[in-house]
Amino acid sequence: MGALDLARLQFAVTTSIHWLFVLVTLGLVTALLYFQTRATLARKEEKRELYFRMTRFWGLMYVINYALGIASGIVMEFQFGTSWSGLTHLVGGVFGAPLAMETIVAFVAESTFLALWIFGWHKLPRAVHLGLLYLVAITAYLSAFWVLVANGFMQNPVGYEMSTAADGTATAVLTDVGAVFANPSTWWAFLHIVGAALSAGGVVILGTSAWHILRRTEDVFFLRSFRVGFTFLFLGIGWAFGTGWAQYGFVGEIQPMKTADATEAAAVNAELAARYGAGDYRLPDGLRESFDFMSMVGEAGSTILLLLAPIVIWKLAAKLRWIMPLFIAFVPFPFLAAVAGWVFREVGRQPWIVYGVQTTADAFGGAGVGGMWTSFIGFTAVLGALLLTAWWLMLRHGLRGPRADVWRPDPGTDVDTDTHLLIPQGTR
Amino acid sequence: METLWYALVGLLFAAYFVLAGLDYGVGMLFRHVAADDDGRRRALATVGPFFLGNEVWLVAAIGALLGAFPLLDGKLLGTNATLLAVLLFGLVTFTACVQIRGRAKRGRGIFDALIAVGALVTALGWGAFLGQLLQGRHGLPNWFSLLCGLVFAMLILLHGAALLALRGTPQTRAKGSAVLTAGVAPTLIGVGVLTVAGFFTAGAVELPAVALAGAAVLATGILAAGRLTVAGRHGRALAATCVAVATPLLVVGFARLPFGYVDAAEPVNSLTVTQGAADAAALDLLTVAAAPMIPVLLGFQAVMWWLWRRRVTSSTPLFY
Ligand code: HDD
Ligand code: HEM
Ligand code: HEM
Repeated sequence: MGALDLARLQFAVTTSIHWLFVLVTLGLVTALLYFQTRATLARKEEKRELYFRMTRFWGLMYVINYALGIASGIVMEFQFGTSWSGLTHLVGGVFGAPLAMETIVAFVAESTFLALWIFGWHKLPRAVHLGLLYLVAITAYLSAFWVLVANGFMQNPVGYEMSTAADGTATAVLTDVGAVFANPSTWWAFLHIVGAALSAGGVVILGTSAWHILRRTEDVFFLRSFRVGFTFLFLGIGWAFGTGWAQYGFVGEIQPMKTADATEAAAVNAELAARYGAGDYRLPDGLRESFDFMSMVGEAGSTILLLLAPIVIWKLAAKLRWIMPLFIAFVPFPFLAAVAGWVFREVGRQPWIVYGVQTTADAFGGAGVGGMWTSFIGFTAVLGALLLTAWWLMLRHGLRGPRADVWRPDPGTDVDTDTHLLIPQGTR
Repeated sequence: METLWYALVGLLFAAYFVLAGLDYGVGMLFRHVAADDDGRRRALATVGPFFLGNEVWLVAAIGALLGAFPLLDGKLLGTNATLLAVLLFGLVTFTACVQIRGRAKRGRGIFDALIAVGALVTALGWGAFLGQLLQGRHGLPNWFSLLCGLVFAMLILLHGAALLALRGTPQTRAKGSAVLTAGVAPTLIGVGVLTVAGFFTAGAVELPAVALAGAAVLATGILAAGRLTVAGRHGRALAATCVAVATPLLVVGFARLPFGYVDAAEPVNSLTVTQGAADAAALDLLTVAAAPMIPVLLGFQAVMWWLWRRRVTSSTPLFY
């Protein structure tokens, strides 16, 4: 494998890992909004207690995922400079701006608000504390949006002009900010990933709750969580289904090869060769299957969930405990579908890094083969270990249930273990 | 406009070095200042609530570099890809292990060692990277860069010690002060050696006066931190180490002007700050949409420091 292939593989592996963290972040934060809003608005004391406990329990899961996910994001950012300097060279002027906004306006804000939220329990008034969670959620979705502005530009470059400097080097100049932000490729992707994220957050809650319902721990807590998880999963998959087919035609317009079937491929290849110069523009073998897998999850998933909906509507979960393993088995599918979808979008874009403007090969500016092997193996190992650790910690927290105290406050402190606070109460 | 953004990128990197430097410094030291698990957790609690907010300035700095100076981003990072990969391994290990250690039942000793090593590698890596930039050098670091790394790591260590001396439990405070006072002399020697060596090796420096002034500020900051610690003025000592930690960055940023990227071997490849900048439309966009957020975020983080302004005691909630 050459240095270029390694750089591509490294990017593919690191983004996919990053994406698995991001899915859970976006999905769980939305569910948390629901829990904490209900808790804050609740009139009855026991309702309030219950929803606050839910906020803390699922909140800790969210925090574990987020805290370990950050490291994966930092690695992502560096790669544009270390591996793809050709990309920053040619289109950095257009492409860099949204990424910069993302980091400053969204990530730093998100982390700052989240830190205040975690460490603000019992220190801030309830309404302010809830407001912080809203800010965390808004900034999380904003960051996803900004990064998709950059990615949308790679899929469907708009709002720029090529200009040639005196020494003959070409660069892209931003001419129409509005067009870059209104890029349909960005908006379709954003709408579609919202569905993916909601289903991922939902399935985490659903799977954990199903396990506890099976074990009969804390029925009040988990039966309610079960319904919330189911609803999120159902709405998420359904939304991904709808927005998925809705964007299909547009995807075929900007990148005809993605939607061409086996009989059309030769004709589309000839058309693309006429436009961009001779070459093989067909999708690599097996890529179509990754699309099929995703749409299968979307279609089969919505059907199965629709059939199962009575369990939630008529609150039958407590009577049908034996069916719970089915819900646990759902857990991997939204994640697999979401990675498959990205692989389709990104590999399908090849050989271009910016469609029709720059090839991936031209954009490569990284180290030699030896250096790329080192960084590829190293990052895959470190980030893989990170992902496994995060999941292990989340799993352990999820299976322990809301009673066990993961923060393990000190013996001397005055801790309300019953409500299981993120931060022990009454200490400074 | 590019001047403004050059300054802003500098500000973001400075915020990163100063704030995350506290994390790395405490990370290198926390095993030393406390032998038992409880003591170590309390030592980490000196940065606890700020941890998430500190490191994120790196994300912002790299993002702003990419957005405002795409060509510089590609050159600066691309020509040192291997060094940065090592640095990132250290950084990821450090960040992850800090999060994991408190939740691990077994093997905390191993995580603690990884935290210390990760912090050290990160600090060494940044120092070496700055050393590479001062020389306009590519590829693997040479002895001068490694020396820069070592001195920078010592600075970070003092910085962490200053925080422990200010915010820690009585025991950690004493140990932090001791480390700080003991570290002053070796760090000063290191700065002196680097200054002399820099005359012969730091080929990228266009404005030697700036570099010398920087070295003087650095030395003063280190000395002051030591003196103030002895006098029991720990807040001011921390302020002094903040200045000291930001100074190397300022030297690299200013002393190479007008260049933002220097290639000592092939000077035609060098880029001035203006050449490395994005076009006017992109910079305007960033100025309107992103720049105003920076003070707002600094403000929010200040609120955090205010909320957690008290020293760590036996009843402080422990997060890590
Ligand atoms: C739970 C996850 C999930 C589910 C159930 C679906 N998708 Fe999807 N899909 C994604 C998660 C996803 C994704 C990972 O989020 C992608 C990658 C890029 C993007 O914007 O969303 C994606 C991309 C993506 C693309 C590629 C866009 C491009 O190349 O520019 C198409 C055409 C579809 N999807 C279509 C569908 C259809 C027809 C579905 C169902 C019937 C479907 N998706 C269900
Ligand atoms: C998180 C979801 C994402 C996943 C799972 C993903 C996946 C992939 C994969 C599989 C490749 C390798 C393609 C190949 O070499 O055949 C790739 C390449 C790449 N992607 Fe993505 N991607 C994601 C999001 C993004 C976004 C948002 C951006 C831009 C902001 C982006 C920028 C790139 C770049 C620069 C490359 C390397 C060049 C190339 O191979 O085309 N990716 N990605
Ligand atoms: C491929 C290019 C990408 C880059 C360079 C990138 C960069 C980053 C960085 C640096 C962070 C850490 C932020 C922090 O410290 O808080 C991060 C986190 C995050 N990213 Fe990405 N990212 C990429 C892809 C994506 C995609 C495709 C999405 C969503 C659609 C996304 C959404 C998020 C979110 C929501 C977070 C915060 C949550 C978390 O850390 O788990 N990113 N990303």
